[in-house]
Amino acid sequence: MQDNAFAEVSTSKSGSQILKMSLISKRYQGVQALDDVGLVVQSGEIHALLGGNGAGKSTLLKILSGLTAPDEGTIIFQGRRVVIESPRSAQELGISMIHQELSIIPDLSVLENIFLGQESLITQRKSWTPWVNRREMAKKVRSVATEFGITEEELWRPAGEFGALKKRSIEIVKALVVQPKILILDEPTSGLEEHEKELLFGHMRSLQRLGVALIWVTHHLDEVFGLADNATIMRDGKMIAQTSIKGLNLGDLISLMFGTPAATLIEQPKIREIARKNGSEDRFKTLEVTGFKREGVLKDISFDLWDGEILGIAGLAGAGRTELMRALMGIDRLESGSIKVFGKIEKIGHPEKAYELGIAMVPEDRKVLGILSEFSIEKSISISKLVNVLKSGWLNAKKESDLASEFISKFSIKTPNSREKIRNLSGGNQQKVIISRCLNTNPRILIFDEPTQGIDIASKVEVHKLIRELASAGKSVILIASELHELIRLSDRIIILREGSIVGEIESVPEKIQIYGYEVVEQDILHKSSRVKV
Amino acid sequence: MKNQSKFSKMIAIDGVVILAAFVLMVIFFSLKADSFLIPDSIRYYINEAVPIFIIIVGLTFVIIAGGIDLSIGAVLGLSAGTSLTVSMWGWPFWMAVIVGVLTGLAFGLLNAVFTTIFKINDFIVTLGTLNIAAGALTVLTDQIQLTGTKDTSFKRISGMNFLGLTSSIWIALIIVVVFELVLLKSPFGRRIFATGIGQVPALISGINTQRSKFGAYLISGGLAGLGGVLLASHLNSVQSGLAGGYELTAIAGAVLGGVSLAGGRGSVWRAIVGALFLTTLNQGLLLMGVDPLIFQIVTGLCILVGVVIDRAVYKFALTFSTQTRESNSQFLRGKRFSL
Repeated sequence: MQDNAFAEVSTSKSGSQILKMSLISKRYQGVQALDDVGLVVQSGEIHALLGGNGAGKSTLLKILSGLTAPDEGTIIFQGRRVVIESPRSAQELGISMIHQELSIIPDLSVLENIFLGQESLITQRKSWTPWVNRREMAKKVRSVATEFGITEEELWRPAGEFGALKKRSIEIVKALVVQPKILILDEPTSGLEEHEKELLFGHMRSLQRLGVALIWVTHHLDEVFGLADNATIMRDGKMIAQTSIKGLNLGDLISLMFGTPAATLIEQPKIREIARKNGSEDRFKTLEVTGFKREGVLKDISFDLWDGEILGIAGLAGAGRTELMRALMGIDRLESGSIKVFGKIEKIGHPEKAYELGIAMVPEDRKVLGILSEFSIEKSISISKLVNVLKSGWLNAKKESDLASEFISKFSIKTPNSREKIRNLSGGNQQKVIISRCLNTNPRILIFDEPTQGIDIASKVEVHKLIRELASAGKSVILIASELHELIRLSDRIIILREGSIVGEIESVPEKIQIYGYEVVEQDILHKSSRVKV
Repeated sequence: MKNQSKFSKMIAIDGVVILAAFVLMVIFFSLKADSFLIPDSIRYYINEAVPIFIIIVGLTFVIIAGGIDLSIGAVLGLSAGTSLTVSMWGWPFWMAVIVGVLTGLAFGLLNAVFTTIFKINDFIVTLGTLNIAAGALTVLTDQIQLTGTKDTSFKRISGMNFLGLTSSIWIALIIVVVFELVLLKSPFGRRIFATGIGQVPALISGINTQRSKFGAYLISGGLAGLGGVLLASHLNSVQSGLAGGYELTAIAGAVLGGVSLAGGRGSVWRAIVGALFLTTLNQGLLLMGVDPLIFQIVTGLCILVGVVIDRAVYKFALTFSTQTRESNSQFLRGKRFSL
């Protein structure tokens, strides 16, 4: 065995057909999840797999990675017909998957994470000892790790210390250890900052150079261009198209994915009528934050919030955006700082108090922080203000279901009935339920932290529209979004955080876009938030 | 397919499986043991199990809120001791009740303060208070021989008869109904569920999770106190080690009834069915003439088998009755780890 564990990877020729899945069907108890779907991947290509939520991408990938078996259809891998029974057999064939949720174990070192479950690869050499030889491990992965931005010294540190991008790199190197021929990437850019995405795309090109074919699932269609070679587009369990990316534009992709003309889904940049009257005196200051300070996280932050505006908060991960919101909601304690809500000094020591004052939050990381998974839609909506569904002091089932029905029809939440558990809904619909929960408290101030994380483009547009409508109705909105495009298109005003301080503010964003152009505004924010010259 | 989904919807109803098992068991025992279905015999063993039924109610609140209360058995024993002591001093029976309940509440408060304010692990805290309460009872019984009060009204707390049932059973029934209502129909109860499903998302949705948990521990302590009073009144004698191990029977009953130890799932009546199952099993084995020495082994096996069947059915129902395929399988995969 050679010292370099990856020497064999590049032996396969690029350009030949490595995988052909054809006429794959899968039914789950009467529901056709996949209907005669095919997928053809050339070796060494980047192949985008696109489709809305519930299009069947996940099912197809589960079949390919051995998590579930197809009812019908054949899989031909490297010219041979294969049956993939388990994740193990997929891996033995050379098919690996990097999941959307990171599977890094924070307390283990980077090195140990890379070889997790593959310890046999290094123990066979000195077979008289059953122990894992760490030096051997390090020797094997050193060169590859460096290529993906992990230094030798970092290999020995606990993986939990690193940010989302490094963790992706760790997962990539981990996948490469077993010398895959096909690597499946499920939403690899989720949780990454704008500039980190570029680095990740660089990594993807390096993988391509190593001769690994990539199957890439993404909701961010704009990322596909210039990176992917071919795309397979799915809708409602069927394969709609298999095409080369060259010559297509964003609009084409969207209409293929959703079967509707792109124009109805792509948001048009336009100046929203801010609900302000004639002079600025008529506008109402809803929130006044002064001198927020928290050791190591927030350094003397002050800002105002007006009714009817969308205030965007820009900044890289770790700049203190979420921490600021947590402090505002009373989740974390502050060392100093005061809040005026509607002109009155208030002490917010607990989210309960924040809700009483009319502040509501749609949190980031919906699955962990957002949903109460065991609750039905009804219970999920009423929970933040149970007073609304009480009848002489007791919870009233009728009132509760009426309330839920109202929001279900208002936001067209897709569900068989209002008693369905929230965890059974798709991401976009879960988010609508959480927004309903906030609106049930009749808030004056709404905080949206990454509101469109992990939801498909159609739901995204709906959430954007909703945020605009809320602001137009006079509510104050604070918006955090890592996707700069989203932040800039939605916000009226943007403040930029860096390392816990406000380093810049852009007033009347829509006008600025009209005058200087979108690019200039974006460059300005990037420049200020990263301190690095852009 | 249609039928199957109807069937799975039916068995997905909370508690149906354990209830069915319970009914089957009753049929089995009534065929095998002649005296099993005699009203007097039923009344007798239910009456004996009243303290378990009462503490399981409070325990259900704590477990659903995401905690665990190991101290209830020992607290019940100590409360029995304190109330009998003051009754033997000649205090009126209602003072004895108050003292017993207050003893329980004091321990509930102790559990609540340590778990919610000092944020110490529930298991450790209640293990500590278990030992304090058990130790206190040993000290108490060492000082005074708690061999019985002369106050007949103290005895009558548990021993009166209404409509053929003892007052003990009536009190337990009322407690079950009232607290089930509180759990399922009051805002406090709803917040208990939310807290148990996830402390952080519950907090973010504006719920004072610490207050919910605090309340749950107070209820658990207070009910253990009341259970102690009833037990003391029933036995009219208290020794060291009384009611030790009740907490384990209660936890087993709750889990068997489908109250999830992970929090956020269950109800009072389900826990009661679980407890009924265990006590009926014991009674049935007794009447069948099975050697009492192996009861505990049978009980343990029943708990294991029962929980496995319940989970399997729950998963089955989930896979076939709900709509979204992907999230189901994701959930099931996650469930393996959370069990």
